[in-house]
Amino acid sequence: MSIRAQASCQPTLRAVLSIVIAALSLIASPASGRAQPLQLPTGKVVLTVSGAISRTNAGGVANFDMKMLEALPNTTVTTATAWTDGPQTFDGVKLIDLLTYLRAKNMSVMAYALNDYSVAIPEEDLHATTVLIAYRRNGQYMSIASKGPLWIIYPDSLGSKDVQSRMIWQLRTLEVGPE
Amino acid sequence: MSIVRKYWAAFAVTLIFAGALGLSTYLLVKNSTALSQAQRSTSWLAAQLELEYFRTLSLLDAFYSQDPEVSADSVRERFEIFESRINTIATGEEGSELRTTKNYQPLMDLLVPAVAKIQLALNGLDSANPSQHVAVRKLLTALGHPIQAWTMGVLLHNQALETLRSSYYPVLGALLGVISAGSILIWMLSQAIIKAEAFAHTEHMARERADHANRAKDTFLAIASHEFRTPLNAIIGFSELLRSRAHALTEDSRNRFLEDIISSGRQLSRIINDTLNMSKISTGKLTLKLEPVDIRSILNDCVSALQSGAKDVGVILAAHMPSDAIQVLADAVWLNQAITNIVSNAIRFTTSGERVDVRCHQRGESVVLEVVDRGIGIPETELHHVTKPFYQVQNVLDRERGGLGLGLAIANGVIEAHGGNLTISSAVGQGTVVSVSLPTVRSQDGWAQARKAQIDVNQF
Repeated sequence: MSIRAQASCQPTLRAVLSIVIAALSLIASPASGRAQPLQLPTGKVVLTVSGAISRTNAGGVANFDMKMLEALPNTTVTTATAWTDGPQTFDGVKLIDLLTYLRAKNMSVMAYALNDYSVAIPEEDLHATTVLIAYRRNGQYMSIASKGPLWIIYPDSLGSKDVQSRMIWQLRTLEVGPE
Repeated sequence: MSIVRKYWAAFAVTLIFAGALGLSTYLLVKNSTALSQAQRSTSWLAAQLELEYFRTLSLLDAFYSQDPEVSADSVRERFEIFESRINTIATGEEGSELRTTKNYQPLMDLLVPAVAKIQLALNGLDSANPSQHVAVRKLLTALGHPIQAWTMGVLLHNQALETLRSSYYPVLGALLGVISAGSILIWMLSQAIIKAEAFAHTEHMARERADHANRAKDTFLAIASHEFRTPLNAIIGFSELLRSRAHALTEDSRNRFLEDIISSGRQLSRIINDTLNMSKISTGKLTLKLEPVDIRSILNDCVSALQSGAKDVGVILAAHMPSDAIQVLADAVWLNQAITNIVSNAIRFTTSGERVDVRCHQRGESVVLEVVDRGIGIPETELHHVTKPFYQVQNVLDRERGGLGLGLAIANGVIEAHGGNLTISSAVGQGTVVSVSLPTVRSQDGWAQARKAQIDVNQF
C-alpha cells in the first residue's frame, strides 16, 4: 500500500487573528505577568489539557469543545493507517500549534484515551513531523465507534510499530510534561 | 580470472550454496520475527474486544443498580468503545490477520445486527426500568459466549504458533551448523584448487626442463658428431692419399700428411676425453684420488705445457707464484686438467700480442687462483651459463673458435668436487677473470684429515 502524506495549512481569517492576538500577548505577557485567559467551552468538552501550560479556563486545565479546536489553525494530513482501508484525509490541529497556543512550558506530552490507553509523545516528533490532533476523517466528524472524536495522526506510520503505538484514538486528555 | 573460468562449476555451486543458505536464514529469522509480532497483535486485539464487552456489561449493571457515578451517557460511550474494537478488527491492515481466523465471519454476522439493535435500545435508557434492564442485558449476554469462544480460539491458535516459532530455533541451529560445515567445505575446496594449480605448475615446469634438456642433448649430439667427423675425415682422407699416392709423394709431403693424421687423431682423442669427463662429472661418477699437493707445482706444469701453444698464437703467458708452498688436498691429475682447461680457454679467446696472467695467493683458509685475460669477454647475460655444459654447446652453433666448449664446464665440475668454487667476472671487449678458490691444508690436524680422506677415497 502506498503512503501519501501531505500537510497544508489553511488559516482562516479567524485563525490569522488568533495568531496575531497570540503574538501580541506574547509581547505583552512579560509586562502583565499573566497569560490571557482562555475562553470557556460552550459545547461538550472533547479535550482536556493539563500540566505545564500557561493558558487555562478551568482550575489549572484547558478544556476544549469541538468549536474551540476548529478555531485553531487547521491542518490537513492525507495518509494510510493500519486501521483503515486506503488513504484517508484527516483534518485537525497540529499538536505543536495547540501547545504553543496554550503557552506550554514543555513540549512533551502524555496522551490518554477514553478506553484508558495512554502513550507518551516525545517532543522530537513535534519538530520532526506533523503530529495532528484529528477531529475529522474524510470530512466527517468521528464517532467513538470509529475511533473519534479525536485521533492523533502521524503522516507516515505504516512501517513503524512505535509510531503506530503513538497514534492514540479516542483521545480525551493531554498531560503536558513537567516544567 | 582464468582460475574462475577453469573452476566455474565449483564457483557457481559455492555461490548458489552460500546464497541459498543466506536466503533461508534470512527468511527464517524474518518469519520468526513477523510471526511473533502478528501473535502479539492478534492476541491483543482479541483480548481487547472481550475486555470492552465485559466493561460494557458491568457498566450497564451498575447503571441499573442506581450507581450515581454511572450516567446513561457513560454507558453509551462505553458501548461505543466496544463497537470501536469490533471496527478495529473489521477494517484495516492491523485486523487483517484476525479476519482469516476460524469463526470470524459467523461472529461478525452475529455482532453487526446485534450492535445496531443494542444501540437503539441504549438511546432511551432509564435506570428505574428493570424490565428494560432485562431486555438490554439479554441482547448483550447473547454476545458473551460467541465472543469468548472466538477469543479463546485466537489465543489457542497463537499458542500453537508460538510452539511452531520455538521449533524454528533448532532449524536455525542446524542451518548455522550447515553454514559452518559449508564454509569449511568451501575452504577445503579452495585449498584443493590451490594445490592442484601448484601441482600443475610444477609439472609444467618439470616438463619444460625435460624438454630443454632434451633439446640441449640433441644439439650436443649434432655438434659432437660434426666435431668428431672433422678430424676423422682428415685422418681417413690423408691415410687414403698416402696409400694411393705413396709413390708419387715426396718425403716432405708424406711427413706433413702423417703429422696431420697424428694431430687429427690427438684432437679426436681430446674431444672424446672431454666428452667422457663431462659425462662422468654430470652423472656424479667422478672419483678423486685425494692427496696433499703443492698447488704451485700443478700451476707450473700447466703453464709450461701451454707455453709453446701460446707462443704459436702470439699470446704472452705468465705465471705469478708466491715463494712459499701452498698445500691443497687434491687429485693432481684432475686439478691439472681443470686448470689447463681454464688457461687454454683464456689463450684461445685472447688476440695475438695480448697477455694471459696466472696468479696464485693464499687468502685465509683458501688458495685463490686467478686467470686473467684481455680477450673478447663474455656478455653479462651469458656469464652464469658458461659453466653449464650443454648451454655452451648450444651456443657453439655459431662458433668461430672451434672445440666442444666443454672446458669450463669440466673445470667447474672438478673444482666443485674438490670443495672449491669457480667464479667468472668479465666485461665485453676488456677481458675475463676466472677465479678458483680451493681449501688449503695447513695444520697437522688438516694433514691427518687429509690422510684419512685419502685412505677413505682409496678404499673405493
